[in-house]
Amino acid sequence: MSEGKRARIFITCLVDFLFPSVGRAMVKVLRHYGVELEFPSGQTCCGQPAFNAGFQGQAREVALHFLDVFEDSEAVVSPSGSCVAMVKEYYPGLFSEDEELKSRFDKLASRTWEFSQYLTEVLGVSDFPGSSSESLTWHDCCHSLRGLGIEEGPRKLLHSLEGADLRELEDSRECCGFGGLFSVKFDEISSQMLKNKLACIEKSGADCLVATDCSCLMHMAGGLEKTGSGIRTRHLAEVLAGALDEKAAGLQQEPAP
Amino acid sequence: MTENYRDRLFGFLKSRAVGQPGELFTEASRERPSSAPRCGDDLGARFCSELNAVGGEASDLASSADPAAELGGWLQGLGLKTAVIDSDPRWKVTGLPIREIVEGAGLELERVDGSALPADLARFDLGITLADAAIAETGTIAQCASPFRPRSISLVPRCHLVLVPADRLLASLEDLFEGISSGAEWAGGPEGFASYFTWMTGPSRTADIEKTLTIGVHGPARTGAFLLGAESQDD
Amino acid sequence: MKVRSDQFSRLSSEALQDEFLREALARANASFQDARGDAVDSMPDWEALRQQAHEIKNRAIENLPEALDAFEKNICSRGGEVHYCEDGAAARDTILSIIRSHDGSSVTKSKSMVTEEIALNDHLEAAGLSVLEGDLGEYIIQLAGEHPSHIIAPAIHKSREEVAELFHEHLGSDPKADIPELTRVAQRTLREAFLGADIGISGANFVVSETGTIVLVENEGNIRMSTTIPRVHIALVGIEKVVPRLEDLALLLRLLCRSATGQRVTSYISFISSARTPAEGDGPEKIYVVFLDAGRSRLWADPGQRAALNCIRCGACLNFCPVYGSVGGHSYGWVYPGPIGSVITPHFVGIEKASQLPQASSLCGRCAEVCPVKIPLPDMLLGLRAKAVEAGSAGIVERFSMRVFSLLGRSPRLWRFALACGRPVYKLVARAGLASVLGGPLRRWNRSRGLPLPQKQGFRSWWRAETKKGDVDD
Repeated sequence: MSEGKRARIFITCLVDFLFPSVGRAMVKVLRHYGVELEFPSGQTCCGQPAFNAGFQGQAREVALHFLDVFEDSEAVVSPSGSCVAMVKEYYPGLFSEDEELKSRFDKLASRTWEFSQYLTEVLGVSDFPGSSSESLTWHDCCHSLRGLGIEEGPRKLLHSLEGADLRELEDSRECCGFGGLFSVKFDEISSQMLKNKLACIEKSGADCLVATDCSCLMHMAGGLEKTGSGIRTRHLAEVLAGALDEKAAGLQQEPAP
Repeated sequence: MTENYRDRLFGFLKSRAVGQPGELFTEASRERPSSAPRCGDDLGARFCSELNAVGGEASDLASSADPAAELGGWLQGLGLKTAVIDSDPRWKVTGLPIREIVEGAGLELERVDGSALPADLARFDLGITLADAAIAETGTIAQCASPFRPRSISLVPRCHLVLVPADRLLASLEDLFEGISSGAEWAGGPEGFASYFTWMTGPSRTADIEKTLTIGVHGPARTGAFLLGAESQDD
Repeated sequence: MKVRSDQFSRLSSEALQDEFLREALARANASFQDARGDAVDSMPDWEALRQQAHEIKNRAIENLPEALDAFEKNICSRGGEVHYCEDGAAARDTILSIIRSHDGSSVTKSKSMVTEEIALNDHLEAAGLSVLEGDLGEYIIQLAGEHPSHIIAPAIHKSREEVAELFHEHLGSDPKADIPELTRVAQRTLREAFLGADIGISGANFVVSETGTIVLVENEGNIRMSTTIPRVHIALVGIEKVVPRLEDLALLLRLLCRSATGQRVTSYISFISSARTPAEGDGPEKIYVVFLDAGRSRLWADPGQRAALNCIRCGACLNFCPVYGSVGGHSYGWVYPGPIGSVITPHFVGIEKASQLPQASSLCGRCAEVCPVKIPLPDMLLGLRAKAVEAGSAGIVERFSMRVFSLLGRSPRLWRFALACGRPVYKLVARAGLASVLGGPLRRWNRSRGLPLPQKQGFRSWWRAETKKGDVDD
């Protein structure tokens, strides 16, 4: 069904640095649907850390580099809702003074997809092959949900897994408290928000928490680890790749001491 | 000094305007939004259910076999001593012997016109008025200040009874505002919008302590609203 | 009111230790959220309504001089008097001189955030006037000598026990009184005050250009009292409160009430277009509208931030904000808390006095999602962060790291080099538990969150190996 589809993958700094298994899982799933993938090695970051901190000049420089690397792609796919939201929602606005550049960024934005979005909206997948033996619960990452409108797609994919046991996560639309530098600039508030989130995760009774953003997952995984919880965290791509074969790794392979 | 600031403010705003803004007054204000809540055909039923849902006590006398008895029963149930009624000339055409009903329910009744003062009205247990308009969508009573009715008659007594003439029951907020703009008599007439126009929807309430709902703060704790039948108006 | 917004970190840290406050906030937010949810669900097309409301407020704000001028002409043609004040001091003086010109001595007030903004009560009391807040929540706060912690529920941070204690101390009521009894005590005390007051001061939810009407929305009846009984009514109004036509209110009132308390309409909504006419016995003899600028025109002149003036003060952004829900209103250090407070406070008091507020957000976007007039609050916080950087308020470490970040971000070789070097260093730190020793951001992270360990093989080397393997397979 996706014969001849091509996409460049943007793997994001966090995945590159900490969670390459998420990138590998995304590659596996997309290849399963016959998408021809390319990984431009010149890619760096989306510039979000600078943009969110108010350093728009620096964010612009990084955005221009991103444009350089990805401009003539048929599609750009990334396993991170917040990086994709940066490209789709904020890049064009950063160049509102320059019509030519803005229109190039608009075009880029229209071709950039978050992984689950690409899967459900571009490839039209609603039934995912494979099975899952774990009970799962889904957290809506803020940028995916409110920035990109991703809500039903991933839930449908998870539901379609054979043996799927998708548990309701209370207040799944509430922020986990990460917010990039917010989590360290205002760590006490961030931790309070995390505490509320962890309580809901525990209440869900699921074995594994699933989401679309490694940053939020890292935050919640870090919290679960501190509280000594046995609940695992996995990116959606990992769950789907794991459903294809059971070998995909989780985020928490090597817990810190 | 403040007059000067007006000029400076307006000068500043005009100097910093960006582009050409759209018109301030457009017909868009008067278009009916497709998103407005639907009221259904039975406005009386909607009015009563909305008002009852917020703690008001509404009843449609049009469907009552004996409106006077129903009203009298409600009044008796209040267990109050004194009542004050406005001198709206429309009382004559309601067809209800309101004085007999109120006194029959054991209340002393005094009639006032628009010149009555709040401190005097505060001595009464119950204020009795006629609605200028009512909104089915929300269970709301609307009244203007008038030479016949002081503003505080519906505010300072602990209870308020209002009767709604059938032709004054409107469907929606849009109907109400359209009426005001077209100079409806109930909103002040063709000379312009009344000096004071108030909406009342159920009893006075607060949730200021621990978000706990408490009825009856500064305004009436009990509010009865009775819809009058169309026939009784023709009498 | 004294600005303490630059102490957000300390204030919020203290608030987080307050067990009762957290419970009260959780309870209040849950109840506000449920009520709003039900009210929104009862509407056929909430999103269309929000869009229309956004357009109405935009129309008024874009045409602000014309809208104010029309309102002024219309209310003045019916005997009202309008003043424009540049700042709080001018507004306080204007109000005091109005009161003096009427020989007023006792004032009752209805709940109004804008009067908090200019610390009106202190000023009037210092001038020898008696001033009583009429709204129950505001009255509690006034007795306690505090400030509101929520736009529409000012005493949300107070327990019933605290209120009972306060009333016992000031009014001699039963120290064990329950909530209905406390409400009755306040009602009795305030009733006397209303009946004896000569000046009533209110804010305004809307002022209508076309008819010159002041619109006030409430549940208790205190606004009706303050605007009906005293001889003089003074409305202190932010210049942004104007809407074009009465008809626009059908929509705005629906949205405001539902977003604020989940009601279809509140118990009372008053539309005041003039003082009493000769045939009317009650109602004020004279009405004044005092328009306050105090930073609003400056905000208006900033195209990226102007939409903040569309706010109708429903409080929904507070009720849904996880930061507000954790730290409460007082942490924000001034009058307006929550997301809207974090946006407008820097404009009203100066960004240098409130630089922490725009930073104190995870940018989760719930505020923008629930805002009935579609104010893009997170974008505005981002805009304010950018302004702060432009103004040079970022620290030297942050500035330096952002320089390095952008240098790496546009140089793939350096980027790869940095990642390659960074991974083993980070691994060492994480494995050896050095985060707490190193301090800074890592330590702050590590207080409540474990540090993730990098997996063995980075993505790039895996991809290289993978593509080579692919080539061989082909």
